Amino acid sequence: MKCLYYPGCSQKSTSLSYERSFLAIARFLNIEVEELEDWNCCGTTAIISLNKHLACSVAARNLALAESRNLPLVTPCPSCYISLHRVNLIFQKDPELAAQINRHLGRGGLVYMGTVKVYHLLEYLMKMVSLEKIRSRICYPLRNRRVAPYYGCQITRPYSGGDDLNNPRYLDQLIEALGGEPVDFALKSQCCGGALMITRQNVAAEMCHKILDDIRFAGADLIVTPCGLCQYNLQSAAGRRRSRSAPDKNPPILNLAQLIELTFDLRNQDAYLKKIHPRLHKDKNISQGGSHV
Amino acid sequence: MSNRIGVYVCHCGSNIAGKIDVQAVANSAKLLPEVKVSRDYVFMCSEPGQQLILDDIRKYDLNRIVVAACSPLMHEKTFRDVVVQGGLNPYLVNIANIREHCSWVTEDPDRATEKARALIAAAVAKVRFLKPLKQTRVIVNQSILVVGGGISGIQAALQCADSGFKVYLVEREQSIGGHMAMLDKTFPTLDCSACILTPKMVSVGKHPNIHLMTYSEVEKVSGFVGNFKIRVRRKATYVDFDKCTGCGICQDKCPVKTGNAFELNKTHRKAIYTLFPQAVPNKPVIDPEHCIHFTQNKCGACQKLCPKQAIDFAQQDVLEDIQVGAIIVTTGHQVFDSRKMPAYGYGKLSDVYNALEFERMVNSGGFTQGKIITSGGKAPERVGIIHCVGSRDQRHNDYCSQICCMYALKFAHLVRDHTGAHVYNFYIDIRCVGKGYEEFYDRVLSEGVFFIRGKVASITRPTGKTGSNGQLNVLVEDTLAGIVRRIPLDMVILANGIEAKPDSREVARIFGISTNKNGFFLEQHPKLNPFGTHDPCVFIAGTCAGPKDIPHSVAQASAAAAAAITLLEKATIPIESYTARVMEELCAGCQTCIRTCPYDAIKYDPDKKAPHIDEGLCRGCGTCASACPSGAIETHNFTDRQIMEEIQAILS
Amino acid sequence: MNSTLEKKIVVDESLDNHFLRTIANTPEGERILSCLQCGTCSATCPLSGILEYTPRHLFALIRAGQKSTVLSSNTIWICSSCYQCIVDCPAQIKITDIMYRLKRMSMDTRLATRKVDIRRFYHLFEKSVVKYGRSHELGLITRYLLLRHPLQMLKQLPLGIKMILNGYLKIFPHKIRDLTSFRRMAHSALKSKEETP
Repeated sequence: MKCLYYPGCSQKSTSLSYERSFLAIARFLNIEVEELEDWNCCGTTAIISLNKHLACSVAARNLALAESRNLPLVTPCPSCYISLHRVNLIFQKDPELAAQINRHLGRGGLVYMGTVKVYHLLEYLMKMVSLEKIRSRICYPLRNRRVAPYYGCQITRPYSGGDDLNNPRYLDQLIEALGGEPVDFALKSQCCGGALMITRQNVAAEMCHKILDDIRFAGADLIVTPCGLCQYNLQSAAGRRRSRSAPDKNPPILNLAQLIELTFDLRNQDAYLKKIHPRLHKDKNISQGGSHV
Repeated sequence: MSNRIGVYVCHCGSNIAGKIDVQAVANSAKLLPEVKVSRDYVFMCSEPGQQLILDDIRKYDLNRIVVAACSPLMHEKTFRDVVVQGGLNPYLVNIANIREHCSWVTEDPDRATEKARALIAAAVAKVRFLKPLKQTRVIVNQSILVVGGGISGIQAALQCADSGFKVYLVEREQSIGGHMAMLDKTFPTLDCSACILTPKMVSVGKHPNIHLMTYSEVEKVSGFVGNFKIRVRRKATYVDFDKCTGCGICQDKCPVKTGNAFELNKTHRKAIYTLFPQAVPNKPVIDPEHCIHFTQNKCGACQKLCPKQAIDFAQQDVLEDIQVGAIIVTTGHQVFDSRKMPAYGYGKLSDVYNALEFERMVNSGGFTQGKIITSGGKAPERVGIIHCVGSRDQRHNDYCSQICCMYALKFAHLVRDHTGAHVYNFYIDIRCVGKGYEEFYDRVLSEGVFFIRGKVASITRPTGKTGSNGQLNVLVEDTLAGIVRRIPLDMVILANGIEAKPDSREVARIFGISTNKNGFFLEQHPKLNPFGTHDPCVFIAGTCAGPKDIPHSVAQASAAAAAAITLLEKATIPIESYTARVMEELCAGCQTCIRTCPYDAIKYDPDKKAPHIDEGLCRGCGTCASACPSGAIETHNFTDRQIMEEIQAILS
Repeated sequence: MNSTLEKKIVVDESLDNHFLRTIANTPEGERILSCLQCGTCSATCPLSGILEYTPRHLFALIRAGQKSTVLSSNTIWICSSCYQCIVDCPAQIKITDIMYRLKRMSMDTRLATRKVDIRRFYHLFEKSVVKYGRSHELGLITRYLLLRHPLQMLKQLPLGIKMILNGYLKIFPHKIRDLTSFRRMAHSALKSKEETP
């Protein structure tokens, strides 16, 4: 199995741990991962707020670069997924705009024909890798640990990659496959305010606390999220509360790749859990695996 | 050939004349072969317009007429009647549609005029080769079939039966009554539903002219207009209704308990059961999926205890064939499944009810004996009612279900009246169009119900700090006050809409009628014939034809009944004249036509070694004519020669 | 003459009657005329509490032709693009996409007011991408916070340093290899006018 990997800017900085864990589990799943050569920022929510042509062009450039490789393009970042998928939809439904985008691409010596298949990581694992294959590689199943699947908003909507828009199930099914017990809570795809993390920090923190409170009352040992930005946002919010009051009652927040990595047999990486959750660290089930933050 | 053709170009006011140069077109028609007279006139369908044709037929001894006007669907009959008056066969008039097919759809006047010229030339070319056709009439069978025993079916059946006709009323469930039997009170009068329905049900049960077939379904409809052969499957009840007295001992003693669908599974019933106390007929049936005798070959208590030995486990389904002249379809509706709105938590959260569930709750015969109580067993203090659940929604049903606003108001009134609780109605619009409906709204307003204009986004039962007392939280924007509100409630009732039954398309196919995109049966004309279908002997009424309240259902049912009665009283009905004809000398006997006929109208005649087309069954669709590899079949007045002449005329 | 009685009454001449039609003619605004003003979007929006106008209210203002009110509001900028409104809208209006269009319109018409600093963050982001091909997070955050929320930046300094030391924030921006052609493409796009019908 081979795929092209589009990291997105966050995977190389604040979500570096996501990339590390993703590459690690890919090796275990015998997926050959090739980072898209000379990829650029997809534009995310920022550029489309200012200039539609630029937003579509910067996203399309990545697709144009990927096209010649004839491989599926996988990205762990839901926001990047939306930017890239949006371009594909334009190429399907709006030939005039598509032609204009190709004009801009042409100034950069590229062209896009609309043939690249884009997946977000969760979708790729569910559809192309399959739960059976993941199950076959598990060495340390979660043994009924209660894991709260926090999807976040942009992986569920508007392009769900085949999952149900109102009541997503992919992550729940993955948790079950890993041996855990998915926890149901009302805010599982509620926005955490990631887009406002820098510009309206207090608002984003409050949105995170709502979600963390809901998860806490539902009772979870772990939180998993497929979005690196959500992970960072939730961790920051949890951290802010922690410094002010008593020890952090929030369960550890892992990203999708980290959770899977926990169940595969890899280098002893319990340092992360030891650092922030010594109580859980002592538990053999999840003390093996897991990456550094 | 020596035809004498009259061409009449209608202005249709400015509908045609505003785009097409009608005079020029009439003038050029005069130059067409065999055209003796060509006129234009402002309204051909008017009396003077018709008189023009009549006068010309006499004056010029015309034998063929072409009218260039609106769609034949509008006035073909008018002009056919005119030429009959003038002594000609009605099938010798040909209509050229220069309105819907020309002036209304072409932007450029010059191009429209050219097109009109071509259409008229084609019509003239065809009319030269049209042959007079005979109009056969068949006798109409003097019985009527009513399918579906809800209030619409009951009304239609009673009306037809009272007029002296024999009525077969086929109902799928074991009792007639339909959804109306489940209701508690009806708006706006707050009449008890059962009290107004059951007298009619009893009348049906007792009527000498009504042959009631419950627990039965129509399996097949064959035959032709006025002469339908209906195959009805009488499902096995395992109870001999002739012996059963309805004493109820079997139901008392049956050990099985399973979900009671009439109470929407909020309580149980036995494996041998009647639907509700006032059922007609009031005889129980056995549910073989849950009866221990059928599943495990044990028990048999009912059989042992029945004083009349009415239990017969060996009973089989019976197929009964009946013949009728007209069919009235009144199969009703189903309700929207609120689980399709996951944000409302229906099916997951307790105390969130669908409308019918609440109807059963507040009904004294229902699963709480008429007490309005929460899942905790106490009377609620705060109740919310959400309008437009599943309706006016592009993701589900885009139409308005018509009855929900009124029954939501009814619920608001009942809750206030029975419990004194605070009631909140969450709406987008309040639709009260019927007689007494707006007044009812005013009454409910004055009873102190809170009306919040806003569609509820979500219902949750929060835990911990954010919730309180385990109440349901409803999140809604009060659009009129301009604030977003979170309102704690003890109970929420969803005013879910109504939709076509899941098998409506299959049912439509059985009766040869069509459905619209939402699965409701299609009427012949939405304004002028809402109870007829394109089949002159099949009628529709009630919610199967679209969402409506009880008065409209009853009115439509009576209209359908009246139309059916009119049909039967005429005693004969004309059958389709545009039938197909086999030219036996060309037939090779391949039987392709027999296989392709969608109406089973062709049978093989072994003596003639050729197909025989039953003119009664034939609908003139033309499938056999096009399928025949030898070109041995032609459809009257749509022959190859006629059509080729049309095409030639257009191209030249 | 601004009489006291007439001040609050909005007269039609002062409104932009084309505004609604403009939005309705955009690909994303296709269904805006079908808005029933039901308010589901406002109730389901996680941020409605801090929006100047709830989404429904904003659409009512669009329909009333209140162009400057709409394009200078903070609603369109605070929207976090969670797309919940689109999923819940019974008329299936592409609300989030219209918000993006309104952001762009408020920039083009220069109606976006000072109070909405979020656009400055996006501007810095855009500049970074055009310059390097990637967004340089450290550069972005420092430039934005220094100007807008210096205290916040001070509070975050220790965490920031930790992240730099651990490699989670890069001091220097990463430049893509084909930067020249990338910039040519970017400038071509920047010069293009988005079709405003």
